[in-house]
Amino acid sequence: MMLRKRLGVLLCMALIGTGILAGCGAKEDEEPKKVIRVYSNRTESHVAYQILQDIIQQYQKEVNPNFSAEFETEPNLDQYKNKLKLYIGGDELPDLFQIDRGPIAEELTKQNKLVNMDEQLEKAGLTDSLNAGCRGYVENDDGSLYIMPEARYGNTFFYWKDQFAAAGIQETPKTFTEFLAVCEKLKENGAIPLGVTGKASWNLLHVMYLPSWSVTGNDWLQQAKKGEIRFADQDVVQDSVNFLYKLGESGYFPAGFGNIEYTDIMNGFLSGQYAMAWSQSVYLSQFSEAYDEGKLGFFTIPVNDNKPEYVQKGTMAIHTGISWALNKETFDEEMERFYQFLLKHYAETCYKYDTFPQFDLDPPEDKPQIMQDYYEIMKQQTISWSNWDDNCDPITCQLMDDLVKQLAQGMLTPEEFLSQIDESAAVNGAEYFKQ
Amino acid sequence: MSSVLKNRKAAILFLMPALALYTAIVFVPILCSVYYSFFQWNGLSGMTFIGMDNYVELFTRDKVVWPVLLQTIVYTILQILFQVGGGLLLALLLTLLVKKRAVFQTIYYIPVVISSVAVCQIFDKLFSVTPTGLINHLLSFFSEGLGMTEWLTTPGLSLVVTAFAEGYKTMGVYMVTFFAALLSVPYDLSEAAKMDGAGWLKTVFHVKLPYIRPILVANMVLVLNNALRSFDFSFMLTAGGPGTSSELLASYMYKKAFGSMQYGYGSAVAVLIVGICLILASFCMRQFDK
Repeated sequence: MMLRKRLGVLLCMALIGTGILAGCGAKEDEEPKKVIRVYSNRTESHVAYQILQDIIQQYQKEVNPNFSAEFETEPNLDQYKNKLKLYIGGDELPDLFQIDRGPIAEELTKQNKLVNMDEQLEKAGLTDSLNAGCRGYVENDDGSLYIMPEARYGNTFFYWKDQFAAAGIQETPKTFTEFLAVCEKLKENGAIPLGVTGKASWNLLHVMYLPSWSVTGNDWLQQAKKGEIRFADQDVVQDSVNFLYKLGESGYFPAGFGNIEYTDIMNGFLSGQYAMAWSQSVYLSQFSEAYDEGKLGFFTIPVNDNKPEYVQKGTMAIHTGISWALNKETFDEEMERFYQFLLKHYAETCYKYDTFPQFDLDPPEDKPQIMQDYYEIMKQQTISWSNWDDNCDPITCQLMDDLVKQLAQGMLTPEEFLSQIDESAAVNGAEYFKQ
Repeated sequence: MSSVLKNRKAAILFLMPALALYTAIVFVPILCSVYYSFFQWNGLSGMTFIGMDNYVELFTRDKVVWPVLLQTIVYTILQILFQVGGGLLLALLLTLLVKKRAVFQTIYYIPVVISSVAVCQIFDKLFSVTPTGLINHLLSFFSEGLGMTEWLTTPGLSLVVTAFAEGYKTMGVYMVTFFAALLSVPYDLSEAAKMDGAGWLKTVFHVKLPYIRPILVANMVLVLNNALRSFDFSFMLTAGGPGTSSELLASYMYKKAFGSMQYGYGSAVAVLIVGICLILASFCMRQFDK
């Protein structure tokens, strides 16, 4: 009797279990099979890649187990862009890919090949949540949004306090003049003042932009890129170009910096080879321990003190990395369902990887102190970061990338640099933006 | 069999597949480049026919292309020196070895089978300044100044180092070719020279090298042709820098086409490269026929 009862219970449990498994299988069978092609500049070690992978896994678990992604990555940005152009030319645009704001994104928008991100944000109910500064960095001139920020990265100068103390520097520099003086003191004390890479032009360009951007937000750029006004006629541009030239000419960069990769520069900074580095919030988790121990600090963009009438508008450069774009031709129902899921889960997933999301969401309280302090300054920023090269026509953009390395290495004077840029913008920019 | 080979039609038939393949992968792209060079095209939107404008720009207004061409010629000469000269030297030294010759041959040939990317990475680290690479570390024992030499970021020096890196990778190929050629020199000739009182060096210069002259010229033509179209080492090691001091025509063409999105102009530069290669190769072959 007891045995029959036990057998009966076991049989019922088996039936229930089979039913559950059948149900799962049924769900797996119901969901559409979808494999998307993702082309990314970020590799497995970058948080943006990890965030996307995490969200895909969440989506597979919670919504569609038959959804998957094939990743193709190219870490060198120039190579990445070249291959993307080949994909575009061959009409093989990936389903989800990364793209900077600039001529390629604009051309794809014109050809109606990108999904409108404003519509996606509206559907997800996140239109007002997208940080205004992040939006400003990636939106088109007409205010439309066709690419989505990757995350929110704050850029400031980070420094080692012991190297400052050893050089007799009591306070962090408040102006660019003080900044140069600090560099000189560090150099006299045998330190390498500022770690920069000359291999990738963006690092030098960002440092160069600071005096101009912090005062004007580069609003003059809209006319200069078309050749309507000259770069050389803008006082803030002169300040910027002279600043970078002075840094390079005075030997404040590492020897042979023209051939050092950015990752090597950051590794060098982390190991204390360089006193300062212009770095971004993606490294905060690596800086966290030294920050808590009082060994490492950061300071905001100094004030451009070349003219008394300058008013500082920005103290931290906020940019959004390399944005994500969606191929409109392959944007079907399932892809849209995935993307809506991504948008809704993106912010919290960013914080899982100690990264600030592009949406206005405060960091959880358990995040490192450096993140909390950094975010306080990020919240105060009112203007979007703006790159000269991203905004110019392709020929002037490439020229700027080439010339900035020469400027930093002292192979070009500021006048020669600006003269070539103006010449190119007057001819190529005028032609390009006329279309 | 011999009757088949004497049959001209049969010979042409057998050559057709290879010729078709060669046409498809060599001539067709060249013709396409010529075609694109008459257009203004950014690779994304439509092509605009502009006639000879790209060539006018190239020959009259481009201030960068002619210094780059000069650098390419210098690079070519350095390649001949490193690859042909270096290969010949190694081959001559190998002929002096009686034992373990195969071991040394293999060691010298290893760089040939390593990918260019790997060789560039090795040289990048070897010649690094910050952090100090092996070369600078060794030089620092002699002088602190020498230990801070910026090999890859000093104009002029960067071109020589790039040429050396490519020469190092490829000289093994020519070493093997020259070694085979030197082995084919009749022993009687060397013996006769020895009996006339010639030393090793004189035998090399007056007997062996004249005998293998056709191989020498053929190798020089090969190196010349390859060096004029060289791209990977310049691009990967120095990206043509500092500035454009180690830029070569091929890397300049690449930057114009893919960096500046001027595919039409980049094609014009490509046509220039093809033209230069054809002229120089014809000149060398005529010298060879003499």
